[in-house]
Amino acid sequence: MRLTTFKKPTIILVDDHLIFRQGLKSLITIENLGKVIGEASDGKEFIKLLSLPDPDLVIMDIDMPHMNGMEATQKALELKPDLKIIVFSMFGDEEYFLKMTELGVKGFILKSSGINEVEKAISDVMNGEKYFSNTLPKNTINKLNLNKPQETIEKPKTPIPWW
Amino acid sequence: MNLNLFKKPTVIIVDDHLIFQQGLKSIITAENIATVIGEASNGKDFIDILSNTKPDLVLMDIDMPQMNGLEAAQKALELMPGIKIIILTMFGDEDYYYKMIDIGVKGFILKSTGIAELEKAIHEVMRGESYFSNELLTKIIRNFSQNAYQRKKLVNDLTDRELMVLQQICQGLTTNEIAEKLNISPKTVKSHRSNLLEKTACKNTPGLILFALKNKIIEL
Repeated sequence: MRLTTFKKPTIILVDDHLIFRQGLKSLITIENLGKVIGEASDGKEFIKLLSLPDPDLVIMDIDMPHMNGMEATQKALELKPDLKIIVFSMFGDEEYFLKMTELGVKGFILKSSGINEVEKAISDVMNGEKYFSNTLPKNTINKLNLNKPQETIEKPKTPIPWW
Repeated sequence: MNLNLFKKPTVIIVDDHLIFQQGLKSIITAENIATVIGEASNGKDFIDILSNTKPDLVLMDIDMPQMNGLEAAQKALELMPGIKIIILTMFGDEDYYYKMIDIGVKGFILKSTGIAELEKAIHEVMRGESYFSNELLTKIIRNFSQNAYQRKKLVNDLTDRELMVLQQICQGLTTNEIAEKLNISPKTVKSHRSNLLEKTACKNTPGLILFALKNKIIEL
């Protein structure tokens, strides 16, 4: 029973671990979440794929050789600003999250999540929303949801000496 | 042993990335390579599963929270000495390889390789062989080149006969085959082999093969 409906997207998978891509593709196909039309094992390969018909969605790793996910995202969104990108990453990659949201990615999920969460993310993003996994560290989610510069968070003021 | 060629092995997958576990299970099932009978997201959960499940094979990640793959492999091999473990690993895990081989894991493959190589590895290991992807062996050798001086001394300690036996072991020959080829008795081959293990401080055949590779006694 599926509570959400969404247009089944065409998808490009970008991850340097072939066996990860093969597994994810198998799951996406079996669970009928979309159609994988392309795969790339690094950012460079992915950018080349962008000369082909646009995918509805890109699922992107961060840590990859040659060109990492952040640089690839930046390049891809310069070429195609409306491209929907979901970052699928690991604990420890948090430093990139804020920057990538600013670049315009539509969602973040961690690889410790399962296919159910991938489905939720795809569904939300295909319906025009953003999706930030609640398995992300709390302070990261707060920053992402606020989506405003850190400076607006009130800082304790330096006490003024009474004299 | 031949039965294993026809029997689909039962497998436990151990990886902290749920999506990787699920994906691997999905593809292993779809390709009819093995039957996944258990999944764990860290070494501790895996050891718990082992108390009531006996898989033919374990596919194991290294970097995991709570108990990593090295510790889990060691514990599992203490509990079930015959258990076959294949490590699924990433570039950057090189520090663990030698130790892993030493404690008795049967194979290593990189996550950047695909299901075809995993299938090959599973077949080899189920046949009682070891499986190490070439990419990894090259890395291991590079890793060990740092201790060149010590190793040279070790190699010099080996007799000509021992070196010849070592070369034959690396060709995958059995004790009897080596005896026949070198025109010595199987008993002598066995004693050369145990001397080799002792002198090189290796625990098993894969260890000896690695020793031979990194000392350029044989080449890939």
